[in-house]
Amino acid sequence: MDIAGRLSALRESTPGCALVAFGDLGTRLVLRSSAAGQQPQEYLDQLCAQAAHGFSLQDALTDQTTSPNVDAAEVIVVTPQETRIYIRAPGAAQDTANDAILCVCDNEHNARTLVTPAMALLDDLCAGV
Amino acid sequence: MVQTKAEYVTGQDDATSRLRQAIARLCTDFSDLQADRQDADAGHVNLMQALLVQIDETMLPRRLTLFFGQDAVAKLRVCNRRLLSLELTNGPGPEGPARLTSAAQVYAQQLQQLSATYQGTGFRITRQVCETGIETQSCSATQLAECLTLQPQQGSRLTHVLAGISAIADAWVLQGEDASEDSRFGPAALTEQLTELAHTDRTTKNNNGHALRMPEITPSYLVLSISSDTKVIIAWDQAETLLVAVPAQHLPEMGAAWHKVFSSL
Repeated sequence: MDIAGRLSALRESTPGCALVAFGDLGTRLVLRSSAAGQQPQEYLDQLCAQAAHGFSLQDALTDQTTSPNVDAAEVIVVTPQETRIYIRAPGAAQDTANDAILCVCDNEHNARTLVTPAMALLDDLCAGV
Repeated sequence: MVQTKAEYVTGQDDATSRLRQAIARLCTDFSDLQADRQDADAGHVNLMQALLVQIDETMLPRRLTLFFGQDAVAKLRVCNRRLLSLELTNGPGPEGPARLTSAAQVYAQQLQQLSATYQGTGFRITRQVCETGIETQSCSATQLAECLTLQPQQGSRLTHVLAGISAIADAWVLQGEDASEDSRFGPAALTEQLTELAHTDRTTKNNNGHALRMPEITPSYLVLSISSDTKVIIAWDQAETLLVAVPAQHLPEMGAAWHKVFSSL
């Protein structure tokens, strides 16, 4: 199955999930996406920019702390209308370190159920599967 | 007995009336005073009203210590029915924001913040004899009451969120449009981390505001991790930013408090 198919499968398997996208945090571009409805490109770009911003804050926080168990793989953004969860693979090689899965759900509970399958998808993409 | 003593004061002016109330209160049965204390402990008494009464009835120098639970959160020196100084254990220092021009305004703002932080929590006030010095930052209970009335009663929306989660927060920092006008609570090391994070957030937005569509019109909050069991929340609403360090198990309560304020938008 190609990336677009994997993104669609991920979205359709999660109740309340409106969008799943694959983006590059370095260029802040969404490369592939699957959505329940048509989404304007500027919305997708904003999601990617927001993910990059969130991870930059997470990295700044991680740099400040001495705790070895910081979960730096996910960032959640909550708005009155939706919950967005951004997932990356912190241990990825340099050429795939900016890869991220961006998801939009109706609530935080549903968003969190996406973490494990999204991490698995990122691992597969890093491995070239 | 109470009525008999109070009846000796027969004047009708405001000062006499308050003296009558004070005498009546001092003559109240011990069981009634205990009931008042239990009401305060249970969070059923208005903190501001209780403090104003204490200040207004204190002539000789006294140090009032305000407790929430076992924590002493504020020390007030009072004399001649005036508040001479206010020291918060954790929170805004004595130097108030520049827009506050009088001692009464500064004290009122600090007390409002304290009240918002511990909203609904039981409290108690102890009194000890203390010394007084040359006081330049004092205000009367009346002046303080006037400033408390003038302060925004509702506060900002993020202040409401803060009131809902302050009891479960390890630390928080609330910043207005001007980052130097912040209020904070919690261990210094943690509040410094939060302040540094807020600075990073502002700097990044200044550099990438276009990509982030800043200023963001829709209020939102971000969930980050500072350790395996502590989360950091950054919430934005218009020009305000609230940063909270909260135990991970209390994240649902944080979300509920935020949605309670913002979900009707």
